[in-house]
Amino acid sequence: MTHRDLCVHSSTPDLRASGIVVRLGVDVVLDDVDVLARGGRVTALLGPNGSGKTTLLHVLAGLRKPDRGTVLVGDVAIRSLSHRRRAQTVALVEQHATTTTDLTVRQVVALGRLPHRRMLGARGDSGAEVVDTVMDLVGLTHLADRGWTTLSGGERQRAHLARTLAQQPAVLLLDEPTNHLDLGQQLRFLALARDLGLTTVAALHDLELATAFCDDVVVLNHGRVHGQGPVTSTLTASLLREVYHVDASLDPHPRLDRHHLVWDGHVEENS
Amino acid sequence: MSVARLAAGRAVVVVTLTAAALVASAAVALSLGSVDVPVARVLAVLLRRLGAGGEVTVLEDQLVWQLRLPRVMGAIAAGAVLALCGAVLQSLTRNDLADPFLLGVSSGATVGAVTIMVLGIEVGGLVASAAVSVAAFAGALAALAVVLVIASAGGRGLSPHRTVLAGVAVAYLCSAYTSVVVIMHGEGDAARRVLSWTLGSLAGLRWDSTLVLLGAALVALVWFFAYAERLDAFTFGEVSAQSLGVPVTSTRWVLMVGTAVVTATTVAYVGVIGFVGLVVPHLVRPLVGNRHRAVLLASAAGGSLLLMWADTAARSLVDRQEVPVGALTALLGAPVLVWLMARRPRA
Amino acid sequence: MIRRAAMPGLSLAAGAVLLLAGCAGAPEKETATAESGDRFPVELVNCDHEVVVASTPERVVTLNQGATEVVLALGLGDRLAGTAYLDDAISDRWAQEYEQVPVLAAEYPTNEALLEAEPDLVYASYASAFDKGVAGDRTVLAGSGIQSYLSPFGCPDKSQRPAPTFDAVWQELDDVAELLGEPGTSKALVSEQKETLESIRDAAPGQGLTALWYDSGDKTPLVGGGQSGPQLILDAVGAENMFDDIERGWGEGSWEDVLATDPDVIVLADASWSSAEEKRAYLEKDPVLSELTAVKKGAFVTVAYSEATPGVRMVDGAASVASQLADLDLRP
Repeated sequence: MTHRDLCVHSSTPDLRASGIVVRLGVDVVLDDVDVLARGGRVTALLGPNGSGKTTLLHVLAGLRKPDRGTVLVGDVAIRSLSHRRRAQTVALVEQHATTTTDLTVRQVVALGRLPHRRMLGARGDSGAEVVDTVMDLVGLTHLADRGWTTLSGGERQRAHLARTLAQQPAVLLLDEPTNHLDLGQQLRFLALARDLGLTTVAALHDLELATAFCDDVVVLNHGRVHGQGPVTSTLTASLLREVYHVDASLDPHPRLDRHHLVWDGHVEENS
Repeated sequence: MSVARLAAGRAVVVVTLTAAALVASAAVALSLGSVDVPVARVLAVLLRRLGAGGEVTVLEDQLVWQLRLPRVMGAIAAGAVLALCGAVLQSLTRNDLADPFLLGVSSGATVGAVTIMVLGIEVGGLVASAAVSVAAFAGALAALAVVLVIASAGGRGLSPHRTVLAGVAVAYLCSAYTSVVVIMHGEGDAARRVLSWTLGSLAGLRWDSTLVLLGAALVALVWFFAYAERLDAFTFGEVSAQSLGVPVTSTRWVLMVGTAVVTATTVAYVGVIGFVGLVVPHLVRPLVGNRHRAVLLASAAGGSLLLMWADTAARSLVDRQEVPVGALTALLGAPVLVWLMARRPRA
Repeated sequence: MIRRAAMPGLSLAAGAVLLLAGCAGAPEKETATAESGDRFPVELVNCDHEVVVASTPERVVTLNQGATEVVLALGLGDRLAGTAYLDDAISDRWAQEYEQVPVLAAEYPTNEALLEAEPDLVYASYASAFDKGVAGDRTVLAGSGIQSYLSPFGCPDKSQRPAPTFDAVWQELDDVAELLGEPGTSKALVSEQKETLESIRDAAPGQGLTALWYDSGDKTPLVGGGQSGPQLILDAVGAENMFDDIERGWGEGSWEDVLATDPDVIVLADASWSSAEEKRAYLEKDPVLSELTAVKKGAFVTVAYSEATPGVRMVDGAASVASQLADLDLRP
């Protein structure tokens, strides 16, 4: 099952950011950033800590107005949309989404239907169908009535993903979605995201996961784009040395039909 | 799905039960007071006033219809407002200990009240008690304005953190003013009168003031209910709420100003009654779940019941005397709060 | 020989002069240190404190309105070196004399301000006057040669306070007059007050009437209870206090009870923090309370706050209430 069963959008649009500048006081967090995330593909957003990944994701999600620059979904400027329309177009799974309220999984996922509902409106049935579908997609149907506080880290991430999918967006943004997950859970989550077929941008910490699950990559360093494009051609040995200070390269995977990361060791930062 | 229907059905049952409890409690509350009026006579007064004819004495009508009924209705209205505002602010600031007086409303109102009560300033032709209400309302709004200015400075919207801090700062400032005025200008039993006003009382309510309170309660109920789903969106914080399409900053402004205005209206007439807004939302969540549509309705009903009973106790516990209702709600509320915190599952 | 004969004559003459001087004697108000010999020292126990006045106090400082008015009422205002803390206005009849005395402070004076007035006797109505920042501990004062007297109604130990009655007030007057060396002044005043009271009781303008004594408050009224000034005054005029079962001087009443009783007359206490006009306006504008018989008929009596607290002006309060009641002519 893919997003096509949920889809309300006619196609998978490109997500294009041009000339993004974001300042925080005197610091320049994002300096003239251009990003192209192609429709239907998974783009990894990489970069060391403090490179501005979360800020860029918030700008791409339309949650933060950049000091300069525009973000287009297809050919629609994201800031020109109303809050509701924007939430029906782009959805973000943020890094640390916690709560002390003991909602059930179903209630959490149902939050995703908010952009489709009016303020004093009654709940329509189409909402319930969508909720069931996305819970099935992420494999949480058996936990539908369990309380949030009883869930494991992996289950919670999947619930957040389901909630975002319930918004029926055209573009999916993920901010370090696999941070507190075991390896198996990480692999499962990213495979799920990839198989959805939505235009996806995922900020990732782990180069190996990016290589395994993403089509394209954007590398940020100190608020600037150091390089972007298809994974294998962008993550060259010299880029890895300059940005991550490691002696590494992408080599063909011994068993599968893709590449994987092979590293020799770290490099002194001044060399 | 049947599960969702069941939960909704359960919420409806709880709300209906509390409504029935409200009506029954009101009937009993109307028969209690300094002068004995049996429940049968209470009903007779009500029926006659509602057009069904019948004979009642002037005294019975005065006591039941003109003194007690406005007071009971006022308790229902004020209790609903306080509980609603508490629930809204707790979700908005993601702080379990938030209450309707977070934004300086109670301290500002006290400044206004004390200024009239102790400094004896006249307000064009109004009786002292009416002047106190007007001044309390004005003081509350002034304090709110100061809190909002401080909290929104720096331009990152009304962050909960800044708002709470601003509220605390304004509260301290106001209490300094109150103390200085009472100590330096207070005559006779000024301190006792100020304390008495601060602890709240529904004793002065007549139909004119109660109708205002009922109006405020109705406005609060409809307005906040409309925002209920947006409040649900705040469950996982500001970023998630925004991503779900909720305009976070404008929602915060609207709800904070809204809660402050209806709370200020309530405080102006009945003083500062604590704990209702803090405790009731926590009490109803285990019963009706966490969706705000249910929580808000149940909180309103629960707050009404609690305050009605507290007020009835306030005027019947000690013979010939009124215990300040704010002291009673605190007495009830404190152990309930401790019990709630103790049984919280470790998240 | 002549000297010896002259001695007895001289002694006689000297003795005669002395005697004559004694007989012609200072009028009671003049200060005569010779007089001190027979009146002083005065010793009495006041609120567990031994007061020993060795000679006529000339510089009395009164720290509360009640105390000030006692000294003025006894006609001994010229002994005052300073006054303090008025609750409301001094009665007209002593106003002129009061103006002559320096006022130390609007409320309590600081310790320094008090000592600056060089008092030999400090007289107060409330124990708070002997707090640290004001006059200070009475024993310490006595050690510096400053005697003190505290109205028994204000003794810090409540078990030593007398029940509020006219007799207790008159006892205080006697005590103070004795301390000031002029016991005759209190006797005159007390008998005057007794006469006034007697005539009020005989006239009984409040006979058969039920009264509400409304002191302050609006949502809930503070009313005169059964055990202090309000009750004494109402008893004197022969009226019934609807809240006489409150076992204190003042207490919280309930408007419900007032509606149920529907008193014939409402006595309004007039204080600067709660004026009689304010209270009347509140009653007249309230939708329910304006229906009370007394409010509709305008059956109001006003009493100054200081004339309703146990003190030397209480008889004036009773007289004022009596004459207002007579004017209202409410008797059935």
